[in-house]
Amino acid sequence: MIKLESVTYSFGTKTLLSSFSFSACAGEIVCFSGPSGSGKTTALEILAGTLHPASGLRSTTALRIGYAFQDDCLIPWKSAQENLLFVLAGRPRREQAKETCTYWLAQFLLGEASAKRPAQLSGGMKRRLNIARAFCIEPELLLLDEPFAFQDESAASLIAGQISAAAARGAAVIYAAHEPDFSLFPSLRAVPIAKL
Amino acid sequence: MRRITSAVVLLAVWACAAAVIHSPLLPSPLAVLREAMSLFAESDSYRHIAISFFRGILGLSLALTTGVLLGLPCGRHKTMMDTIAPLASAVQGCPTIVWITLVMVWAGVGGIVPITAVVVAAAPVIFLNTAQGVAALDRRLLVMAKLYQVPKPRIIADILLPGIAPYLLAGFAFAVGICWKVISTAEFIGSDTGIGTQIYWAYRNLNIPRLFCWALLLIMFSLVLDAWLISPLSSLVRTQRSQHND
Repeated sequence: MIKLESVTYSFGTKTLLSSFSFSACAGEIVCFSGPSGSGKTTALEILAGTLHPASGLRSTTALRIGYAFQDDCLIPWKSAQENLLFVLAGRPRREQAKETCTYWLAQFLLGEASAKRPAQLSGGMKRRLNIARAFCIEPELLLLDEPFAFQDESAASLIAGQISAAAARGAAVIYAAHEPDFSLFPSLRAVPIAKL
Repeated sequence: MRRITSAVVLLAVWACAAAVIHSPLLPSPLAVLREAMSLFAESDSYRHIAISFFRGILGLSLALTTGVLLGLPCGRHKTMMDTIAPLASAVQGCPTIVWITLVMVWAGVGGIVPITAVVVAAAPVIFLNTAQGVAALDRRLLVMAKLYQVPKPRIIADILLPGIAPYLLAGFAFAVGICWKVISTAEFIGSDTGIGTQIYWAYRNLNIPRLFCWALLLIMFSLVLDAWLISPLSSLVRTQRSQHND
């Protein structure tokens, strides 16, 4: 599904990833774990294709990549529903786009917030909207940066349930967290990323 | 209400000054009103108004197109910005009268003089504001849009234009503000038609009431455009901003 081979990435004089190799298959759930600044987000950004490594190779067969950004990256002047509609703009079955948005907003407990703009949402709601946006394109590769941040226990287990369901549908799911939580995903593969 | 009060006060001061000075060089509001009635009875007046208005709209459209088309890439590419920004500043810094003179020398008198004058006066401001708006845009939104393979027209309509709207509007409001001043000056010097030319002939014939009529008409052009175009657009942008800053 996706593969990184001997990837190196530096920011200024600081090397964040050095000869990092990784691969994930369809239906797998992987957790990049490590302390802050270890390069988890950098690895996810390289997998997403939004960051290009100084050396090494990235290859993927995934056509649809859903990415929940660490900084949420929501369009401030659009409502929750419009933020989801925006990413569905270039996709087929556009007539069903509104229904798809409504479905995914409800799945992430945002049904009543669909008309609200990001500034009117709490940190936890913004993160769930960011995740819902990644889910609504029916991704083959799902990348989630700190998906459980700002969530209470019930919201965290709801997100974990959706992640498991996506993997069961055949998506490769890779998420970043400080610690891997094996109680949420029994078949979780942890990939520790150490600070260089 | 405040605007009406302000207009009434201005009118009262003008009427008092005209009564005290009692000179043909400062006509009373009543004399100007009488002259306006005679001016609007002449069909030729409408032709000059239409010509100036057309030149203003054309000049503004060209300035807007040039400024936006150059500003969009310059806001994204620093090297391009560093190359073009000093030229824009130089064009902006050069007095309009120099451009009017140069165009008269190069192309002769006529419609091209006021239109060019508006473009060179307004385009640099629109360009700099557009580039500033693009530079201030959250790049992560563009990264997100690219990742989700959103079509370019949607990116422009949903991210780029709303993001730069306040900057673009500020530049456009400035352009509209200076447009009629520049047009009339350029027509006064380098054209044989338009309101500026009529101001010239009113001055040559020492027809001061008529000169006042044309001046008031130019002020009204600016006020009408401000009230019907700039203010509604400004409140639209303000509403949008306040909604996402709640």
